[in-house]
Amino acid sequence: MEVLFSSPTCFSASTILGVDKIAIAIFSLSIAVLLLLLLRRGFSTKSKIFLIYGHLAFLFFPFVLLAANTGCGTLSMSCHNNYQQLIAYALPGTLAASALAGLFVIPAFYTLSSRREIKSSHVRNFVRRHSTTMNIKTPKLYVIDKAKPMAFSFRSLRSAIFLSAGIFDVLTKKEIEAILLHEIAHIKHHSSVIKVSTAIARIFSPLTLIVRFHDASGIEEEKADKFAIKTQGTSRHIRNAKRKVEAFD
Amino acid sequence: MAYVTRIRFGKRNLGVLSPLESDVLKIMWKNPDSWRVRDIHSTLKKRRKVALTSVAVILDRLHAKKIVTRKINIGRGGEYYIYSCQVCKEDFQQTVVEKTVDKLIDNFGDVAVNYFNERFSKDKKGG
Repeated sequence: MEVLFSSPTCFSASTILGVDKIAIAIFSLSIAVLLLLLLRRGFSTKSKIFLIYGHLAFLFFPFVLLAANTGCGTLSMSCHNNYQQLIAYALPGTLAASALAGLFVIPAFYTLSSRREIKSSHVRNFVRRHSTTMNIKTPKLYVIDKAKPMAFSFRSLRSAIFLSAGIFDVLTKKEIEAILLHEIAHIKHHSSVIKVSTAIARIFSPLTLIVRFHDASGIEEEKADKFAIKTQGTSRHIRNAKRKVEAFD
Repeated sequence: MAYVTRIRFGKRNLGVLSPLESDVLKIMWKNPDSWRVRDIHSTLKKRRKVALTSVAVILDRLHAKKIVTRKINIGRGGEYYIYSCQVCKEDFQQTVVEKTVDKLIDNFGDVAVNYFNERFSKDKKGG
């Protein structure tokens, strides 16, 4: 009978990884937990984004380490059958693909499929003026062929604000301006980036189930509303706009 | 062609539409030119209490039913919809009657056919 195993100790973790590598893995996981806990603090949005991806990187590093060290020597099997390597590399690969999709592909999809820029000079001038005040590049403005009043924005390679035609049907001029200010604030605060990043962290990191770290939607919406209220000097317009958007359904 | 999924009968509605849908269409049929949501709302609110968002919802539903068409128009305040009737009143009524009768015959067969015969005979005798 062919001897299948090259060494009686081949199943031991220390021979698969090496004791030093186990220590590195534990250290990496500890850093991941620490970064997650730091997210609960009041850091800026940019810092939080780095912390999220830092957490995920340190969380997945042991898997990459396992993949790199799980060589063909284990079980004397052919390298082509090394499913452990595939799975271990697939996890960070999927994470990277999700991040790319959320931060670049989806915004590009909306930008390319909209194909209709807003031509209204009043809207364009309003956005340009307030973008300059907020010290951000003037975002592109697109109209979506939908009756439901809706607005959203992305901060990607080129920032963009999307408004449905329904918004212009249903909202007053001041309410539309409130919505535009709200979206400009989102772009300034990188809200789309942190929302996508938080969603990715919740999907890929089981630790986020235990540690409540960032209510992305709530905090970002509050900040954007505050900017609109502060600029217009009243909360009436943003409140009415939101009420009308909800009433449409 | 309007697709009939449910039949409602009443004094105000046009058979397959809600009362508000009927009211909106009646306004649009009187003047088949293009309409903005706000224009229909300002005409309608003289007769009944209705919110602007309700009119927008109704027009969206009529568009989904292919009874009205819409296109985006550029204005000073932004880009808004202009709605037009795709089906005139007579054609719409014709479609409703055809679909309703077809459905009755499909569901009730001879019972429906016999009733129609009796009814037409009565109407003929009555002059």
